[in-house]
Amino acid sequence: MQLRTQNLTKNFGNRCAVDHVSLNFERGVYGLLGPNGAGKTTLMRMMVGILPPSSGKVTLDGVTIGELGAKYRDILGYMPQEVGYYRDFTAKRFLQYLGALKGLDPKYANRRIDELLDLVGLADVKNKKLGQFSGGMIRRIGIAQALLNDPKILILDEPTAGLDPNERVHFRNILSELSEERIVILSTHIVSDVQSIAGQVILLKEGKVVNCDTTENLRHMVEGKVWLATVTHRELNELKKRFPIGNVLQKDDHFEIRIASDSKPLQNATAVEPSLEDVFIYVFGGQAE
Amino acid sequence: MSLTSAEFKKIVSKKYVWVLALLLALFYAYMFLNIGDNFSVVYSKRALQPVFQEIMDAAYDPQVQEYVIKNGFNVTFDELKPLISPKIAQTIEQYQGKIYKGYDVAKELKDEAAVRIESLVERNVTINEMIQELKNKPDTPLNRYLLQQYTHMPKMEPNLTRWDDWIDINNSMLPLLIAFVVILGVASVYTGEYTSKMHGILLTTKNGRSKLFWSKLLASCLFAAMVVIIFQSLAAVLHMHVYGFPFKNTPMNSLTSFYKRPNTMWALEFYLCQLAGSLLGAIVLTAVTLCISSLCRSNLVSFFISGIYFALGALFSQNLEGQYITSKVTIFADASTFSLMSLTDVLGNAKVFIIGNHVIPTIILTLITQAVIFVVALFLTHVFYNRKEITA
Repeated sequence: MQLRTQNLTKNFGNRCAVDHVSLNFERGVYGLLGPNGAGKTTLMRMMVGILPPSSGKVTLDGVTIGELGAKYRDILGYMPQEVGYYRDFTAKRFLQYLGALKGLDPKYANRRIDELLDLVGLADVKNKKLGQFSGGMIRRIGIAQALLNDPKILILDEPTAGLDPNERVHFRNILSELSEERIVILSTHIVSDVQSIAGQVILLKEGKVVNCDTTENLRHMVEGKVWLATVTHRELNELKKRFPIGNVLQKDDHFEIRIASDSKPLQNATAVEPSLEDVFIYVFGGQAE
Repeated sequence: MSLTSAEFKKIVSKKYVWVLALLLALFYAYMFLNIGDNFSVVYSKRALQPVFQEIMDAAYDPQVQEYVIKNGFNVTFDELKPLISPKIAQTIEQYQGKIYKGYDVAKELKDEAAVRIESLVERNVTINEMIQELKNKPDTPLNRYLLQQYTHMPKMEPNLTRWDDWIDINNSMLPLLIAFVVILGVASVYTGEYTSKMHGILLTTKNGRSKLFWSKLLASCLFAAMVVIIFQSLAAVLHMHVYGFPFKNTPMNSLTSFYKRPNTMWALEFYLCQLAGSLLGAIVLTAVTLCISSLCRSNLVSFFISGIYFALGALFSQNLEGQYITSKVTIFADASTFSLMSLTDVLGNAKVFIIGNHVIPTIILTLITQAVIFVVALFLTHVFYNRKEITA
């Protein structure tokens, strides 16, 4: 199974949100990284077929997703950035409704719903109305609905936003288990989520793919370009104007900082092994979240 | 879970729809029950129904006709009494001395009986004169049609059957109430998905496009049919309570409002057509509202635009009542969804339009237009629903 985007472009008026993006997806987890406005959501919307591209196409095994239509949607699981729901529906009824929309046999759907509610930790509130759910619970329902039809292609837009650290770890584990036999594409602001599970990371900037590689290779790409330094508050402010700054850790009256720079930024700076977060800082500079 | 039943439940679970529907129903009921004890409702027609045949015989009696015509259609009951069946007088005598809300019942009934006889004579004379005039007029398609209709009309009867009140159910108020509730329930079918941000999820599911579209349509039509049945039943029960069910069928030309119209239908047939029209109109309105809902992003905007669509037809129709020829000016109102739901103007007045040498009943134009609107609305709904995310 191969999902491809070929010169995929989306213009909104004069603004180009996604610019000739060509990517290949095969089995595994793909992390889509980029600052706000990089075009991640637009790219995902085109890939799930709810936003027609201005040019280019999305194909599955050589056939465009438009031609595949319901066949493509049958193997697709999608969780949008803002998870929609009906306030008056209970969690179980909501998933039953989506089960019907996904064409699942009611008996199978009910069994699957119980499994998924258990998986996302909502089994004890399955008869509670969604209007009473917290933001994190709604996201978990969003994850459950995306998994309902056991999709071969799973596209998740910011799935971990609003989840607490425990829930995020739990969710990452679920995705890792799922990734064996399917394509999982997720966008996130939380770099650590991608670092731990994504086989491939796609860096998207201003609608263009900056890089697409394994976490390891991306880290190699910035090797020798990430520095650790101890600075004063005044020096920190000076450096912020000149270099993209990563983690800032306050230690007594000074700060321990990570700097992304092609050359040694300070005399006392020492090169350190880069993390994916450093790659993000290096590539996106001050736009990092 | 069936998609159609889920969509239907989504529509009917909106509490505000039922609260407003209940308020409208109560308002409607209040208006009717308020007139239930009027003298004209309690006595005028009801008390004379047992002598319906005698009043009719009197109006067709040559002696009575001659007397009424000779007196310029202005006669009293006492003048007619020697010429008509004594049973009429005997029936009225039962109410001798009875006073109801300041009215002398017997006196009022005598006047009513005289008016019914006099009116029936006058109407027959008028129609005969119209037939004679038409025979002498140039042979145009319209004149040919009118002559054909007037000469084939069923025998006119006294207007005592209450059918005029029953036909009036669907004249304007009930179609407006039905339309209001239908629009209220259906306007948010698609905008609701958008405002609840479900649109993206729905469109990426296997059955979230065509199948969901048909399920939403079917559920909305079921809702519209339910509203029509509830309001028509309510109106029928109220009319039954206030006026009683018409004791016999009668030709449409027997009803004062329609006697000059080239209408050969019978009242029951027309009332059944109104019920069918009410249902069909509500379904067309549902399709239009769904179309607007699929285009809009706000429930309120969808509600108001749908309301304007229906209200324009209704307002225009109300200003054109009483004509029987569709013209360029009236065509919008005649072909409107309101006209289909009411039928009083288009079918009751037996409206026609003329193309070349042909006279075509306007109801055909109304039905074709509404069928086209229905199909176009469905097509656009499908397009708008599937493409709504474009600018989102």
